[in-house]
Amino acid sequence: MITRNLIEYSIILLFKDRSDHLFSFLIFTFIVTLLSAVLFISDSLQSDLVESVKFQPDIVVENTLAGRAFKLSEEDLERVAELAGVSAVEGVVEGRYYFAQQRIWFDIKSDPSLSIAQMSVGAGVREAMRAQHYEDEFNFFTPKGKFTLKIINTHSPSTHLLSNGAIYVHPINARAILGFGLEEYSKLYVSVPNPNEVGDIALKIDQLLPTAKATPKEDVMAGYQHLFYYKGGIFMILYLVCMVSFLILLKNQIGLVYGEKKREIAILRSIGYGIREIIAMKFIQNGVVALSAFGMGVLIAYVYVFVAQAPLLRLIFLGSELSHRVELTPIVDLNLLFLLFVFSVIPFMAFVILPSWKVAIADMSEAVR
Amino acid sequence: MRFISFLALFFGLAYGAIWLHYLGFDRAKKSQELEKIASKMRHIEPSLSFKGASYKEFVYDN
Repeated sequence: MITRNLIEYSIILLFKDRSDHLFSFLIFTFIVTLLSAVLFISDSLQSDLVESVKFQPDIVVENTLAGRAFKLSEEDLERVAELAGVSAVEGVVEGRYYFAQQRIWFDIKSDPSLSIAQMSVGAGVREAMRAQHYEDEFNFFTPKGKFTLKIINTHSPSTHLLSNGAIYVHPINARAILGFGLEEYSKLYVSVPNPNEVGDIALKIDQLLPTAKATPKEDVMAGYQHLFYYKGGIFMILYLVCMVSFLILLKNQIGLVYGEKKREIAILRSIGYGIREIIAMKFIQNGVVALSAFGMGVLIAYVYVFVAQAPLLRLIFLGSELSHRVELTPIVDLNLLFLLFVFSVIPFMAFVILPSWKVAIADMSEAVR
Repeated sequence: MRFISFLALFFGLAYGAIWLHYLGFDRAKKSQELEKIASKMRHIEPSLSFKGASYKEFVYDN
């Protein structure tokens, strides 16, 4: 039976061995913080992307030539539009513009709502332009010469994931900047009213335009669901760091039972403590450490990611070429946190309770000697 | 017991504060802004700024 006195005595013992328990607490907090922070960032980015796919066209057609992105013609558009089951085809002009002064690439997007002399930019683009003293206007250098557009709007940090590196211009300007002719497109957006026909029509487009790639909406959505490279890269490094830290933690936990502590258990047994009380004491001590460390780890990760907007770590996820004024949506996946809790707290407790039980049932005279 | 009460109070207050932050975030406004920009782009792609493809492949699957 766990009594108030037993709890108080356990806490006294916890403070007596504070250096060992503090070490466990710090390592455990580090592991939970690291894993939770990465999970919070990835969940938040993924949620923003999934939130934005409402207007996704049924099929996106992109062309390639010798393995590189290439233009689509008006003739291609008409051939796709003639396919049975296709209700509309929209040709769009998008591409990348090299800002030589800063040695970075901007994404050029078409926005018909803008007037011909205007453009709107993402926050990262605005910062890069400001660094070269482009405050209200920006000069585009094309093979046909220079032309200037006025910056009328900078997109807010809440749309950062979609707009940070993008410049939105009128489609005519997009053609001029990217060197597209009037009847040339970089992508075709195909509308198919019957969802059951999307896959078949995508295959027909692939046959019709052998160098083009038709991507159905389902594939795009699946790509957003499996956005991150969990089997390698940063996630593999993360797993390794956490695993090594956890092994150090477990070694420290075993150390809390053997050596001098074994003698301590033997003395408690010889003065009348039962096996159940000894295990309860170890459970209370390590339960306090594990729960505090887990709680602290999640807390630090939340504040770091959603209050401080993940300084440094966000550069790994978003790239470091442009500045990022980001606003991460707070998303907490309780299922994953529960999984993390189960796979960290249970081994942590088991690695001290099982050896304690083994020591407590052993011959006491041997341990005290 | 006082130590456990102190811990419970600390975590209670701290989690209360982050719960308030979580609820206080204006999701509707963010969703509206994302929708507005997504309606112009239609086929959306994350705006990332990696130095090269290998840096991107370090984090993203495709």
